[in-house]
Amino acid sequence: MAIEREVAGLRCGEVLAELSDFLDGDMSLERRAQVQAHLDGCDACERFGGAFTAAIRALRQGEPMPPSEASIAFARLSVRLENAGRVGDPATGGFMSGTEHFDQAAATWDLADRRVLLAHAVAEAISSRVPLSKELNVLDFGCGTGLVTLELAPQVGSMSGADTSPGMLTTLAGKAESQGIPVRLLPLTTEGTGDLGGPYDLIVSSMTLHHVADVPALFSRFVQHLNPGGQVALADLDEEEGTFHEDAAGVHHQGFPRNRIHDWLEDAGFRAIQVETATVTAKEGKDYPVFLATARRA
Amino acid sequence: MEHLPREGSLIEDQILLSQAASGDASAFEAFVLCHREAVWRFTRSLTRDVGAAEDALQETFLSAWRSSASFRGGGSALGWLLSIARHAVYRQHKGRAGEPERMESLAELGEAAGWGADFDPLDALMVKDEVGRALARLPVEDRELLLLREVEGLSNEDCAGLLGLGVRALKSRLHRARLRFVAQLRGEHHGH
Ligand SMILES: C[S@@+](CC[C@H](N)C(=O)[O-])C[C@H]1O[C@@H](n2cnc3c(N)ncnc32)[C@H](O)[C@@H]1O
Repeated sequence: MAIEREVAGLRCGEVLAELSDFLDGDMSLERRAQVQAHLDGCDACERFGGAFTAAIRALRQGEPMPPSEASIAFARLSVRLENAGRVGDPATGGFMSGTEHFDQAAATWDLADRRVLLAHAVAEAISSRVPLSKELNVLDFGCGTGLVTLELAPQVGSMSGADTSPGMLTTLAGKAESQGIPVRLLPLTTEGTGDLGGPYDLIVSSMTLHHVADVPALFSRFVQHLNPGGQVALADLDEEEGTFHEDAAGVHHQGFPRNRIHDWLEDAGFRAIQVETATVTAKEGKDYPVFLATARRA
Repeated sequence: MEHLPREGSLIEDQILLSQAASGDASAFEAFVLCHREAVWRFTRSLTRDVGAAEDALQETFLSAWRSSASFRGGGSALGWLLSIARHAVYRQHKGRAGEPERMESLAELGEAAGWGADFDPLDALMVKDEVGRALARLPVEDRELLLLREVEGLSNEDCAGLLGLGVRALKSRLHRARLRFVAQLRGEHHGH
């Protein structure tokens, strides 16, 4: 029902027309005082003005986008930009100037896509569960080509990457250099022994634990390379039926039951242990959940 | 948290974009990291379709990289990006009819939004996702304006430039869009 009273020299309709300017502070002080006087004297307008303001404020708060959708979108964006970046720089007009390179990229697209998506989702899960800062010394255990390492490195103080594969580390070194991100490389023996360096404030690992025969021993080793209060953030597959890897060589575990990871961490002396889903990766039409275990050294 | 442009980001964006223009991919990457959430939020809400939103997101940054040299400051870099994003979204809907703006009287719009009713639309705000749902039901012109102005916090001037409107026309459209939004919130609450 339209309200057409006149209060403080203004009609309700005039106030309705100016509510946005009032809310945005986009009117003279004089006019503002007049509108305020009307609101003070007119219940209906005051109520509506309050509701209007609250509704617009709620809109400004925004509602968070579903994080899983966003992380997939961002990972695909990175892949596409990265692929485009290899073609050339904008000065020479090379960047994405034709469809040509799409055809070239298509051959490796899916493979790259899935791995990149998974690593990206893990990196996001880590940064949402562990407060990262420039004060932290961080180790990525089983860093591979650095998909997780290089994403986290800019958010922390120092980053080291340990891996048993010289080939992986060489690729990582090349990427780190071209992106101007310093990463200290720690080559390990094929058995996984070798100096892990440190002490660290955080040790992360993604999709590597299942390659390690003696995981409890590894957790005890982590404790020795962590500062007191230091944390771990470890991601790997939930227990699966052995279908994830086509080639079982070097695979010591078909994923892990979460309670086993929990107990091993506890036995090694970790506290505040949490094991939650980081993401779900799909391979040949099958879904494989990936957990992220976080814990703190006593 | 309100998504208002961060202090000092104008200068920073300009530096990053000029480095990107001279071929520095890592500067562009930093620029992408700063703004991808806003562009995603915008394309996602504007299209209502994940796939289309992703295409538009990618197209926006590819096109921003190609044309990074053409960013001259002046407005905000976010405004510049969102204007690219908007074109990317509309390119997908070639021949979009572009609903003519409905010209209900302000009193009619106000009444739909609960002006003069005893009902308090505030109740609707307590329910999760109602804001997003109300927004999603608005005509695309209202939705994009509210996204740019309220959600991304662009100024009236930036919005007007981006939409090719004068500031006065923009303000009048904004007011109407806000009222329609409140009306949608109210509709939600009344079970339509
Ligand atoms: C599936 S990849 C994961 C790479 C990287 N973290 C990622 O998320 O993209 C597993 C990595 O673990 C390394 N690895 C295998 N056995 C290891 C061991 N015993 N100790 C440390 N790293 C190992 C491999 O060389 C490989 O780079």
